[in-house]
Amino acid sequence: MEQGGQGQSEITKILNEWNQGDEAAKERLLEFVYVEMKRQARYLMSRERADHTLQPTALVHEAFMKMGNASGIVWESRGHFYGVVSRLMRQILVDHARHHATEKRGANAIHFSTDDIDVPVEERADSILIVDQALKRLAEIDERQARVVEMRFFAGMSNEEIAEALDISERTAAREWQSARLWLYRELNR
Amino acid sequence: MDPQNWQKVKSVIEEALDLDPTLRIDFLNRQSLSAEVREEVDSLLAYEDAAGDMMQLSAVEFSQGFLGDDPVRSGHLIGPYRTVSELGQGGMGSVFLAERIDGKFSQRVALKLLKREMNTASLRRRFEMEREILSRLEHPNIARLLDAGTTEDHIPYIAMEYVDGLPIDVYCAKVQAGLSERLQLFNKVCSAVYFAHRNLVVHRDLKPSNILVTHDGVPKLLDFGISKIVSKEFQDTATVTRLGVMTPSYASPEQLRSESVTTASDVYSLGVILYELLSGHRPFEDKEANIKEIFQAVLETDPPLPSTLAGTTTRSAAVPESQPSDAWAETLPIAIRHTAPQNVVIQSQYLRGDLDNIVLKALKKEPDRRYASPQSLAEDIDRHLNGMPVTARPDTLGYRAGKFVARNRMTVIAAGLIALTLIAGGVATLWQARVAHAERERAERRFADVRGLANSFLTEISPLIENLPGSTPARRLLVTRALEYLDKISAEAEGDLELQRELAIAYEKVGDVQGNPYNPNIGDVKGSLASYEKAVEIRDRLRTAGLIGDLDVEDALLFEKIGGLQANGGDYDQGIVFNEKALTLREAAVNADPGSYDARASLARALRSRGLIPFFEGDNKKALEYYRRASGIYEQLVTERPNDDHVGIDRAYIFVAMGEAYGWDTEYQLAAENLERGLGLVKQIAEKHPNNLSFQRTLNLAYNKRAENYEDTEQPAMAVETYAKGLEIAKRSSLADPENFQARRDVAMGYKKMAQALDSAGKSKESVENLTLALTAFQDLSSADPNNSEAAYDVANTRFSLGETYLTLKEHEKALDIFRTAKGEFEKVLAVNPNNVYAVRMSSYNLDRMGKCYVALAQKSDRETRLKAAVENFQTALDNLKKLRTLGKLGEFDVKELPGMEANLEKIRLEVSKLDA
Repeated sequence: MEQGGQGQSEITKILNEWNQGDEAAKERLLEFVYVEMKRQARYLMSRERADHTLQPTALVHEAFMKMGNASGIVWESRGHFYGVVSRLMRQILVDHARHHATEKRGANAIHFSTDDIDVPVEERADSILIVDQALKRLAEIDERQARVVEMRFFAGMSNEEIAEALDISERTAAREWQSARLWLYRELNR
Repeated sequence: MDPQNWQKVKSVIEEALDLDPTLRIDFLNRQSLSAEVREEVDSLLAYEDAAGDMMQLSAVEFSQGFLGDDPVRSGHLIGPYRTVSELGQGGMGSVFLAERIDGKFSQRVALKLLKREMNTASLRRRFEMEREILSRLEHPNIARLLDAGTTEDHIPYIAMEYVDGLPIDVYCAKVQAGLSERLQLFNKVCSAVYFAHRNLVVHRDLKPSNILVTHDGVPKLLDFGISKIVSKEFQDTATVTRLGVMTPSYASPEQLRSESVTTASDVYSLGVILYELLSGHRPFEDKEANIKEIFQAVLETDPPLPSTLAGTTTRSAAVPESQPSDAWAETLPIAIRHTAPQNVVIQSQYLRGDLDNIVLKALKKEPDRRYASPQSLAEDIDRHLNGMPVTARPDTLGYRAGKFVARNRMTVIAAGLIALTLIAGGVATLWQARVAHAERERAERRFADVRGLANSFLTEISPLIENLPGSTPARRLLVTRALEYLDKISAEAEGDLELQRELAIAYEKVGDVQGNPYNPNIGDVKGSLASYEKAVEIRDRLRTAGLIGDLDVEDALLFEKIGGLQANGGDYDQGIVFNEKALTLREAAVNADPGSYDARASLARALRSRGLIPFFEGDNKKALEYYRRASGIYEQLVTERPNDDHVGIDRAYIFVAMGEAYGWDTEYQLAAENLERGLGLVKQIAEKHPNNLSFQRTLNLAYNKRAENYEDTEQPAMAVETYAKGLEIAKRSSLADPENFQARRDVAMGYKKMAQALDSAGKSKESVENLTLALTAFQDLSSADPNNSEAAYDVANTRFSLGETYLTLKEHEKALDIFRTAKGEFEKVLAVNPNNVYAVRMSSYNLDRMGKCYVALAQKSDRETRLKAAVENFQTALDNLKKLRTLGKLGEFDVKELPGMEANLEKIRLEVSKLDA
């Protein structure tokens, strides 16, 4: 991973602009990541894969590296990178789910297990939105735990990656996930 | 649950989960937990088994279906089209084959639709930009824009000519095209790209899948989705993110570095395509699997000679550009996406030497060492085909050892000027010396370099800085230098028609900078006319030599400029001659292709210019006829392309022009209605484009015309307020570029108008202040261009107004002095054109006011002389004004004034005769 350099101010600037409500900055980044995610989706569908070992971070990482190479953007640290990616991915997925959502809950709660993959698109979209809402509630009582879920669920990050991003131990990351999982299960079945 | 309690719940759960379920209750009982915490812990632990497979999948895996592509919307109605099948998918849009359902004829189109989830403001702008770009590009080898609009749920779409063909690489493989066939096909592609460049469009994503060849063997350029218009207005839109949709195998080094992308980047991509067409391979094919390696190779590695790869079949030879895993494949026709090109038949011996050199020259890492344009690339290929020496040469050792110059835009311009001077100096001497064969080749090469560079100045750099504030002197320098060099080399190559044609364009551009009243210019009207006329001469010669092509369009534009310039300078007869010439060409173009949007837009513009002359001459009814015809066309055009702001603002301004003509015809109500409507529309568009100087100027004019109507209808306060808005805009533009003659004139005019309105509002003192500012400004302008009779008229007229204000203030001596000076100034204007109606009218009133001053002053002293002088002045004023009647140009206002003037004359004459008696 490259370190330092003037590029870091660029990505930080984009993020700051985004946080300050600069829609154009956000769109610029979102669009870029979106193209990459489309690529993944196509890649997955082009092979009938039995396993589900998709590595979103790896792929998006590649995309960002390309962008970094081309524009001089350099990540401050791996943690910086993962933090940005998970937030972006959540944003994108929720935006997309919103386009397909019915705002009604399906007959059964979805737990995002491998059995749930064939549920109709609308119900899956609704479920993503429900997780998003639940995460917002979790963030109110436990910001860090909500970030762990965001990274794990939305960005598919491993405990190791999460630990690095949040500067916690791997064990803590795993434990945060364990209790969050129970909490989320209950929220989704309310 | 509050955060502290939650932390407790978490830590208890974590420990409990580590325990065997049978031991948990005991453990929990020992913790002395509050009721709330205990209840929450119990509640969550109960889900342990059920939540076992919770979130096995990540959200991305789970979101397939709705993250992926839209379901194919075939059979759907989009505007007046029904989709038939999907042609391709891209990052931001989908392309469908569609049929028009409302027409009498069935028309198949390629319909490009922005994706629902990509319907964000910035992408809509980019989509809009593609539409704008396509609308500029009507060329036989570019897929045409047919229509554009938005669906019911506000998703923008564009309809393009549907090209039923194969990507150029697949096509060549399929028909087993030979070497010269491939080269000729490629040259057509070059001509299309060059055409785009001349219209200030850089494609930026040239690759075989964007070049389809029809069954008749006609190549068509597609997909301007990430193209760029080289102008200030669009400058900020695209840098970093473009890479997300670009194809790295065809991208130039500067594109990969996200530096500014110019026409040279397209030349590079063309080089890759040529490389592939000739050798069957892309230059760094073996590096494409790894993004880092391909970047590095494009940036740093010299590509292998195409001849060394021809005939080989490596792994990569079977990989088509449009492989399925190609993430960047934008809008590929699905049917051909998986087709691999056959082995290429060209033998390496045919590529060695010239063609190797040509391809590598196009692929130079440094943009300015490539061919200066796709045109010069094509010309070198032509030279090769005709057995002439080509300009491309392998790198010399000296060059390889040399250092690269660090560049940015300004240094390019500076270095370019120096290089041009050096090279051109070399050419002239070398050429004349009839030196040995080898040196002659060198000369030819330099000749091409000069030509390329000069053209790049004219078509790339100059437009790039045209709307930049403060750029007028830089443009003048660039353009005149480029002209000098083109002039020099054209003398050496009279038989080269294309070069002559470039020369004509160069003269025209020089004319624009010198004095085109509709562009930022330096106010040298005489020089401007001379340059334009030189362009006309050259084109006439080209016509006799048999060159046709776009000459008509180029001529029409030029005639309009000359006509406008002549009319503005007061020579209405010449103005009419040239405007009629332009009008004839424009009408012929519409007759040849009545559906053409551009042809009709041009005709409307020509009608408006034509109408200006009767308007200048005071024939408002005739002017209105032309305006109404133009307006009729514009109303149609805006329903076809409501988002075309360039036509939109012309359409808006026609209402202003009609309002103005009605006003002079004393139809004040009609005038007000048209002006109000026009101003509203102009404002809407101008405010969307705050950096567009020309739109801003149009808005200023509209405010002025609206204010004039307030004056006509005696609402001086409204008039002052409205003039002030216009003046504000003019000042802003002039401040941004102090050498811009036009902006300076607008400011002067603004002061003058303000003064008039203030005077009517009874504020004489403020009026004098504004008039003095106006007069100084006009004098500056006039002395900068002494032959411009309009500028001279402005001075005379402003001085007259100042005199009138002093007359109102009863400062008769001061007023008389001013009127006297104005008299001389009017006489000079009339000497150039005795039929300048405005000058005749205003000079008459000037004489009349002089007479009034004499009458007033006669009460103090020199009674007889002064009264006699008054009579003389009144008489001449009347005679002159009556001359207008014989010309049929007597206005309503004049008719009202005449009896008073006659009565005045009789009265004073009577007094004089009493004195005599």
